[in-house]
Amino acid sequence: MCYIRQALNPGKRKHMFFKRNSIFIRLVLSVLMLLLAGCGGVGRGVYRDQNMDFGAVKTVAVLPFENLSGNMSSADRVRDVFMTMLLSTGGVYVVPNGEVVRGISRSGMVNPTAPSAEEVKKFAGIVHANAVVTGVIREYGEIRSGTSSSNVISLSLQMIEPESGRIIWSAESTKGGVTLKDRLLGGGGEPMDRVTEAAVDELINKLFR
Amino acid sequence: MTSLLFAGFLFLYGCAAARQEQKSAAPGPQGLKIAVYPIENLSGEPVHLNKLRMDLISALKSRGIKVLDDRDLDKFMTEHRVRYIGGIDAGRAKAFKAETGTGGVLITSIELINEYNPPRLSVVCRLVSTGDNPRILWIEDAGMAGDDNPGILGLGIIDNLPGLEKRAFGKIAGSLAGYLQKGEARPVKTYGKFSPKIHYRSPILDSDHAYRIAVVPFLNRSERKNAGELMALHFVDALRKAGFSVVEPGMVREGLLDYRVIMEGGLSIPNAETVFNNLNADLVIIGYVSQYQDATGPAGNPVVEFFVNAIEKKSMEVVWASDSYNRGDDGVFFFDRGRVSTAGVMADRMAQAVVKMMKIKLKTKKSNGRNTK
Repeated sequence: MCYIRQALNPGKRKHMFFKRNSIFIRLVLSVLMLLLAGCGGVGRGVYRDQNMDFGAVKTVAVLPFENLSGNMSSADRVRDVFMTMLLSTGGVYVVPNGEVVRGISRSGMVNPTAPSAEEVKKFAGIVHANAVVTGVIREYGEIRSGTSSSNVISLSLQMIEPESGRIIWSAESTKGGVTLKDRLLGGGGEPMDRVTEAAVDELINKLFR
Repeated sequence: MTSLLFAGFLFLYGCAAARQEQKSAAPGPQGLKIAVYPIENLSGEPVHLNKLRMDLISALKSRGIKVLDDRDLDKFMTEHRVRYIGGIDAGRAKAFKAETGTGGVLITSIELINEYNPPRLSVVCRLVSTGDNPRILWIEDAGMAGDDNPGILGLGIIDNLPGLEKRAFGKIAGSLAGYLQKGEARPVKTYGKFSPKIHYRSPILDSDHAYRIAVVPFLNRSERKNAGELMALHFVDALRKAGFSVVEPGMVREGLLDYRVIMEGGLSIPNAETVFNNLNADLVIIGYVSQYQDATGPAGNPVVEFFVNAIEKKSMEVVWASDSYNRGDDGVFFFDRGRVSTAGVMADRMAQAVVKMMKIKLKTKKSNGRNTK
């Protein structure tokens, strides 16, 4: 009797099909959404202020990075690599380190790794910078996974516009880590310098994109 | 067949890595009497400096070089209260000429001395003229380890420090004698594998301009004692050999002390102005040493990493910036051929590669202008 009723009403039959399989459809849609999110890696981990004219940034001052890793000298080393690579793009001029130290001292910056908007404004005025970069080193050095080891770096940078004190660009990068090749063949992964260079290169690409 | 071609390619690549560069020659000051300063110890460890100095003087005398008598040197150093032996300032250079009649002062710095497993020695010598305008006439470095050239069945291994000293001082004395006779120094090899990994060269930097360069001691962020002074010394060596006019490090030190220039984290623009005005320099070179590590044991590798900035006088801008890092076994594939055993030799080659790139006009890149290797 039930089958006869369903055969007489095809619309209701279709409705029943979706009702029965709704969980399955939701699952498929969720997986598709996740896959699509993964494909959209172009803007991942980057913020750019759409109202900012980045062409107007001619001189950049890079403040000391905050070091959250176990390696004492990592912040200075990564900062030096970033400054040299940024300068080598030829797109902007980077204020030399000695001048940055003078600016920090003269502006009375309390914590150069996390300056306030007023401090950034004063500092940029002293060193004649159009933008100020701050950064955080989250991970730097060797990591282990089972018997395998490799080098890893994880850092994030922010660019601050001195007049308004707003963040106009922010990006993060993580490079290195234990790969399948390291697990199978060993060898300790890429040297720290190359890993650092790759991470900084990615950040600069995100800045100039 | 493929393996043969591959081996041939590697051999050719090895040959191409060492390109020779001839230095500018000047007439040699024949018969010049020189004063041999007490040796400066930059090794960070206790060293028998007097014995080393005597060995060096013997090597010089054996090559026919006239050396100022020790009594006269001691008298001069006492009267003028000379305490700093890593360089000579303008006042003392003038007094040297007037009071002792010497034409040059030989300043020697010991970078590394290791007696065992294997013995290692690294030393840098320079001859600075006396008189009104002291300038670096000649500079040479000798860095070697006992197992550098083992030869067949290890017959070439030097297992004692005196043997290594003899070879190192022989090289230095030979080079100095050659300069004093002919006014020519030995040709300098540059190696592509020691070139900076990242670099920036401003179009302001003119390859044809004869720059007078002051090298300020590098900031030392490494664990090695005196790495900043050593790296600066290697840059003085590389720049002088490339034909640049380099301000004598003793005069740079005097200038920084006289004008109380404190380099906290680097050279600021006002400080750079002071250096330019008082040392009559066109370029000032400053940098940071991140790693300066000598090999430990026979299988160990030296590691050197540094950053260099050059500030130009007219623009007051950074016109050169580079990041260099190397290990002793970089580019070594077969039988340790091309392996570098001391950090000093590697730092010297890396500095030479930087200076060579500073001199060459780079081809403009169309992409984003980034110059990474």
